[in-house]
Amino acid sequence: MFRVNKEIIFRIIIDPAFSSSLHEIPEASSHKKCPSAAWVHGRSNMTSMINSIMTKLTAGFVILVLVISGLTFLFTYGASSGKIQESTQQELLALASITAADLNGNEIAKLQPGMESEVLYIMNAEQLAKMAKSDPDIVKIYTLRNGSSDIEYVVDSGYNTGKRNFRIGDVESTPTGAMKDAFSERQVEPEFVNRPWGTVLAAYAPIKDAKGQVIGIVGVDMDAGVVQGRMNFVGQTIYLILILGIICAGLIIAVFSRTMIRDIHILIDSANRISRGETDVTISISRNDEIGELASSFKRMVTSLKILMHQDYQE
Amino acid sequence: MTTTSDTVLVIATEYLGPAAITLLERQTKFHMNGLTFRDLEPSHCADLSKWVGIASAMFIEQDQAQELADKIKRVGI
Repeated sequence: MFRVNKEIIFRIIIDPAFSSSLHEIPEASSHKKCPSAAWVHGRSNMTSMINSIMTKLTAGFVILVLVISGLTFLFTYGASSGKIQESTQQELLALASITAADLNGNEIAKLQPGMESEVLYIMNAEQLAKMAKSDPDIVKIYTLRNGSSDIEYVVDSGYNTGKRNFRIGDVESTPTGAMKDAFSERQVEPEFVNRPWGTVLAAYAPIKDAKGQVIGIVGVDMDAGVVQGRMNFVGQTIYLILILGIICAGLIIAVFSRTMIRDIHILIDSANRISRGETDVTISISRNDEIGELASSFKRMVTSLKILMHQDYQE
Repeated sequence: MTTTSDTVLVIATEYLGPAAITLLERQTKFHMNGLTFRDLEPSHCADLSKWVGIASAMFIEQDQAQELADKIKRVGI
């Protein structure tokens, strides 16, 4: 107590700044409420955790992985979505071509308005319905031909299925470019189109008669939801893989940084023990990296200190 | 400092840090008939090696101490 007072008196004499600061202390402390020890301790622990190299390493790495994963996801999903739509279009084109080849062009040409109950109509309609049933993702298969002024329906797979079907001669109110071009060669819609039975992706192939003349086209429609579902499946798979990758990466870096920090803590603990005057301090860190070098330097320092602290060891 | 004492000091500092000189001076003074470490000659190395091995084992691991002693011994050969 006497020593402290002596120091304060000494500092007051030689240090005017210290002297003036003493006047400010009671004023400041009288207005500020002192935080509780538990609050200070908790805050200190929280600050230590945030400032920890392990937290910084893990957080930094996870953020890096997240950014890379996000970019990878966007790029991969975009690329794979395009490929899925393309492969679906090819699938539709193939089905349209097969259906067109199966149909008898001469029979289709014979079908005229009012013949919906005749055997010729029923046979062709059932054939289209059978083709449509072969692929559950197909909404409708139908045939079209050039009418007197517009493109008109002939027969479709909705016959006897309870689904909406057209009568011979019903006009297609909004023929697309691909539909018109299909009279020359097979075509696929570049994007989804709206039909009375929903939004679909469609492909068309020309129907030829015995002489090889194009008498109409066959259309194959796949529901947009199916195509979207395929895209979503790929997206969800990529997303799942990325999430698992991020979790694994986070765990690996956490374990790695924990190992690194553990050795640093050993060094800190050893330094503290030396500073308290303990001499039986041994450092058992064996690494080939920078921390290993730090540990070797620290070992030499500790050995030197031990030698100096035991100068009388053999005297 | 002789060449021998310089070499031994460099070797010992690798294992014992900057206080190596203190330990070496004490070993020569107390166990080698009051020899000054600065005057160390190759002929002294075998004897010094033995004492350094014993003394350094108090501060570093046994195998490391033995390694240091062997290196000092080889300086005299």
